[in-house]
Amino acid sequence: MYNLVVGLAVGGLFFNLLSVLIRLISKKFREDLAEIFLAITLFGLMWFIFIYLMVITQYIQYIPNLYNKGIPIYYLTAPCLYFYVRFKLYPSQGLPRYWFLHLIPFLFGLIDIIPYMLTSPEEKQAFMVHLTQNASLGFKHEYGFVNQQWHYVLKLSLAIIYLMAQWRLLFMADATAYPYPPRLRFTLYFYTLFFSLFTLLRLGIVLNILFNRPQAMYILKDVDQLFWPSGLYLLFGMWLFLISIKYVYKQKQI
Amino acid sequence: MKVNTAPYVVLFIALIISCIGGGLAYPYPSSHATRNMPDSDTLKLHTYLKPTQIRIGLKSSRYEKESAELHSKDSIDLPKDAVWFSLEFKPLDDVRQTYKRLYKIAPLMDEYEEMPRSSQINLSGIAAGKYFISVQLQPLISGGKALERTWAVTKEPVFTESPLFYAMLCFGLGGICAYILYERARRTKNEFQLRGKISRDLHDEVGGLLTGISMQADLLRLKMGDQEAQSIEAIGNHSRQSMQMMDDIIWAVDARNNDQESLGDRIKYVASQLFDPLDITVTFELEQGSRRKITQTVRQNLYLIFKEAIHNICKHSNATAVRIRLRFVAGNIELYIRDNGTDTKKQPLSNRSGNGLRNMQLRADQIDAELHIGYTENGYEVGIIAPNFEGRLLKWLKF
Repeated sequence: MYNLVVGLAVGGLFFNLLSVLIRLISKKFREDLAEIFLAITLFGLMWFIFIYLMVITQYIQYIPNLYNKGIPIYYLTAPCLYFYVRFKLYPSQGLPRYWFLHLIPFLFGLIDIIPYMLTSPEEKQAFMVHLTQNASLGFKHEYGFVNQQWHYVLKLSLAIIYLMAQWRLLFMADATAYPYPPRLRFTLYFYTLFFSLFTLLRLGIVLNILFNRPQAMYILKDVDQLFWPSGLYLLFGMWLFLISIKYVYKQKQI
Repeated sequence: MKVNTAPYVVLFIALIISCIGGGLAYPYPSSHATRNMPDSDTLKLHTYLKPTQIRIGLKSSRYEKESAELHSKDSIDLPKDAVWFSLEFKPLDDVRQTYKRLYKIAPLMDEYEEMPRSSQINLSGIAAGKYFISVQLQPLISGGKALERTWAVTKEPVFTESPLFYAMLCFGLGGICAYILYERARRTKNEFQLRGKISRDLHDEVGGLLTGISMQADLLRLKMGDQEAQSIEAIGNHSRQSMQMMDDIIWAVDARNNDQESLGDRIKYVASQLFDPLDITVTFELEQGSRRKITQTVRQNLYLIFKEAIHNICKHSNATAVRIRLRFVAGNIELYIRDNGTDTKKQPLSNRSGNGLRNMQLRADQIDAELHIGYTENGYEVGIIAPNFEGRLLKWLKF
């Protein structure tokens, strides 16, 4: 089961990485602001899963400098996906006037990773060794200006708020947006559904830890439970890769 | 037809990599269970670290006993419905004076504690997870050798203890909230859809008919004598006016126009249509490229106030220049229409213009807007400051 879970996650990471690379390479994707937002979302998700995988496979102790760097990007995942959907539905609408307000959590995350960045390499290494023994240290450590648990709470709360706004956008699109192709509708619904399921699973893990705090490490490493998000991620990665390739191929034909 | 197989080949290769990647990429996590094998000198002491019996209490008031081969077990798997667990040891009768026995259950205990005289370790109300039970034999006299043994006890979670259960619980609770939000959104959506349908039907059905009438009237006018031609021309003019009015209605009811740019475009269009034939110069100060949302009622009322104001300029003013400004300031929409006319007929002297001003005030009240009408040092001005929905939200938050 352990092999299977890690294999699924590695597969998902591989396809996700390819999809992000396609978005970076393809000029058509680069010119589309919505696709840039999606690429940021995918990168945030990919980084989160990559670090999680490194922790449970204990490889993080060899790359201690990568740990804790993703916090600001995680805060961008939900708003970027929201703006992706918004730009696809209402292409003529620009960014909102106070768009920079969406960056506040990102800046908060950026500031909060400074203490860990300034820690000595030896201390980082020692911390990583402890982290591989006890994954719950990920939200118990003190390399930050605030209690690290707040990042998990804030991140999930923001994700839920943005997802609700995203579902509303999709629901109202029939009446407020100009006609858009059914294929785009399916794609947008799929992204929203995937991120909703993924957020739900993460919320499940956080609540489980909250109600069984002493066993946080066991819950975070329970491969029977991690099978679902890993499997979901692989399926999502494959679908994403296929539609990215298809899009590039179509553009070339045009 | 040429089929591009490249993406499928990459997909296949990636699948293989991902399947074997899991097995190659990482080591198994090291076991936390430790076992100190006794040497021949301490064989006797080791008997005090061997559990004589394991008891597992199950949910249904049953319990299981295990005693065989306990000495060889480093890990113990508890059934999912286990509620308590007990490890029994041989009492320290012979070595009580020289050794004490300590125990620790991680992660529930941070420090070792002395084992009770009953020589039992009990763990009740066990939540799902992994526990490490360590038993230590510590010498009371100097020079003695400390011994330790650790067992890893695992209890698999039942469904209600799993993240999946909590995820489903959140889904249920979220579903209720989502349903409430859905119902609210559905009402708004239905209203928008109805508005869209009305505007489409008006445009396609009535608009077509009116165009037909005006064209037929123009044709008839060419064939008729002077007297009849006047009547026919009147029919044509009326139908064109109807088309203009209907165009206004279509624009006003369509929810897709609920943004600043749409309102700005409409203001430009209507002002140019009215002022150009009268040789009145119009200057617009409109923010371009901004598509900020405006609520339906605010947009509709603002537009109608604007129309009344420019009609008044055309009818009662001898203005040669008009300045129109539309902007967003701190959550408010500001619309100013200023002209250089000197005629005082714009004052509410006649019954008709008095009604017009009263209607403008009524429309302003409907959207909680401030309306200023009168002469300023720069000319006659109609100014309206209306809170947009963001402004209303702030107002509501401030009671």
